[in-house]
Amino acid sequence: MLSLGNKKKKPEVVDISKQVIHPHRAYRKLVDVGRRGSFIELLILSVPLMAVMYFLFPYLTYLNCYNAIHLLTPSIPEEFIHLIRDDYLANTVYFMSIPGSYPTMTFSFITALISFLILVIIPNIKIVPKAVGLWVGYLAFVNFVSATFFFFVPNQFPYSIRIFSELYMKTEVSMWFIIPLLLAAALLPIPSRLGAKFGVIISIVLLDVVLGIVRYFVFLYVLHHYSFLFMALMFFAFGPLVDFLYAVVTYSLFMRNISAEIRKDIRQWKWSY
Amino acid sequence: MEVVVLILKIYIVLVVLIMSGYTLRHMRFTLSRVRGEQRIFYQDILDDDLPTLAVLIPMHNEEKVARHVLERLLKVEYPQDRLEIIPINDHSDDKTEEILNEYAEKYPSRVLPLHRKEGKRGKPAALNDGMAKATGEVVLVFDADYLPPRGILRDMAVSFKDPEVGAVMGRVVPENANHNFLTRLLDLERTGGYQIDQQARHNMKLVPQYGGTVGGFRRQLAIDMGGFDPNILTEDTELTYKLFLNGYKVVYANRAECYEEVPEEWPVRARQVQRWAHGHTQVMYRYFLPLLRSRLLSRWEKVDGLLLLTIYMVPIVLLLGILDSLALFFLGEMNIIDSILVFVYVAAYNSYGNFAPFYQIASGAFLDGAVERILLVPFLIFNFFFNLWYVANGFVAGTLDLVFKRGSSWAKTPRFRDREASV
Repeated sequence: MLSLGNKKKKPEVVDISKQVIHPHRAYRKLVDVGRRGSFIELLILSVPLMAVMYFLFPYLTYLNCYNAIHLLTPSIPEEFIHLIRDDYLANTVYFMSIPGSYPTMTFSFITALISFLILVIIPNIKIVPKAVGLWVGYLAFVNFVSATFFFFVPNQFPYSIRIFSELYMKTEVSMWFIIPLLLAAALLPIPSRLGAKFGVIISIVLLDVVLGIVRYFVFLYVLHHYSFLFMALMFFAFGPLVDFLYAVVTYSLFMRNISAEIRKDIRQWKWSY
Repeated sequence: MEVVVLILKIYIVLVVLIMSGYTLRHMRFTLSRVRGEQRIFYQDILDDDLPTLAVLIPMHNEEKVARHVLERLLKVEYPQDRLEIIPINDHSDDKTEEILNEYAEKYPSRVLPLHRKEGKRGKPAALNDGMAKATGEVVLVFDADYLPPRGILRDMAVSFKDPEVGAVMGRVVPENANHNFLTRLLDLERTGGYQIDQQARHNMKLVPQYGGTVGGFRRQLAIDMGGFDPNILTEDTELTYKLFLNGYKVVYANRAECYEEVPEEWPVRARQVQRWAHGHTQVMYRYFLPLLRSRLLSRWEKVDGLLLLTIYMVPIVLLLGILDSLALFFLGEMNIIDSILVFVYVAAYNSYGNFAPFYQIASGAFLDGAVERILLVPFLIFNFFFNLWYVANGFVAGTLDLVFKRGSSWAKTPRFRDREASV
């Protein structure tokens, strides 16, 4: 409260007007590049990389096998390791064959029992988030089915490491084609330089190739030393699904960066109308 | 055995085709929303002759949130002589009744509570009674945990100046998004569902869905169409299809944002998802054929309507697909790699997030101006397995309702708000 004797102070004027008014999120959109523009961008982002992968995949699968042989040799005699060459998509694919091992009945029984207990208990533990519990339950279910199979009819198991190897390698090659296409489509709506988008797709494919090499070695090692019992789990839980996860993780990192970069850049945004 | 293997393989291919269809549909939606031409909503229309409104708020044991929604509604900008607020106390045994009576005493001409102590409990039955009590031309519905902003009633009500509009739907935004991991994931799901999916359907004149809250419909029309079936657990989905089958449209108001409380615990979310799937399945069985036969919908409305109607069937189709591929694996038939089927199989995996695919959710968050939230997108894989299981359970329950002609009971979503909402 002002006392009577005081000189009245001029109220300070605060400028509350905004320098830039950003479009509300309900009305935001990006510049339309049209159907033809989108289609051309899709082709530019995916086709060259797919073409390169087509010519490279024989070398990459060979590299994959070379690495696995190098790492497995100390524990497996060289004469049991075979490098196989096969046709795939009118090109050549390489994969390996090594001896695998069957689980004993006791091992199958114990694995089935543990998997069953995990399947029943984990999804129902309150402190474990239900979504995580169900994911673990899914893994346990696949392993339980596999262990039960090996307990009752181990001789009926239809695969060898050679077949699994072939399946794995051809699936990986397929992923190297699918990922560029999928990511090119997913990145279409995003306003970023073509080079940056291309870079992110290449890095995802490279990551997939490198981690695929590591995975291949781990899979062969497990199948050789710890039995075929875990083959189903590897295929259903750590197969193409993991490739997909790499892609989404890298994609979300890229999207985060682009969003941080342009969210306050008024030039990028258009009003809906 | 060969026939069995053939059937199993055909099923896998079928799954892949279904998933690919949904994936393409969501890609189209994403492009329409992010870069395409946006269809103008009605909020720029200035008209003194706004419709009379009845705001219905169904409540069953809502003592934690009842005051918040009422305080917000008492502050909205809408001609007071055209607005009636009807909170419906639906068999509550907590302090909801006391709270509503307190507000009715304080605001006798504005808050007109309806206490239901007899008859079937549940939102559809409560809405039927609410509509009978109401006099407004248009009914707007808010769930009790919602916090409507000042301008929302006008934004939604003005759409009814268009005689073709049967219902309107606003955008739902979680107010407790930062509470924990689950609420953050649900916030992302909502973003994909509203910012992209609903707006794209509105843009493309397809079938935007009336979602049962933050939305409204013509009261007399709903009564004339038979009101809400108390045995249907998703009365909102049923109303959407009834309206389209009667030649009306549902429109989406992206700017009409309203805050809600999303479940903060996984078991609560599980029950919610299961109820949605259960109710949606009931509606699917009832409206699948009428939708196919209708002459009042365009070809694309029908396609979108059918895909929306069967969306809760996808998880069980996938679940069976996983069992199918396990069977094929142990039958030695996974060696299909010498053909294009590997592509197809991998594509099925890649479409795992089709419920709201990763690119749709990330693009929605991008339009919202989100940054760090986008990093959570890969974690939606956990939500996928969660949805897979509980939606499949709900689908089975809905199917059993049909087979055994049994009724269903309403499961209320518990509230978590122990803090003061900013009213």
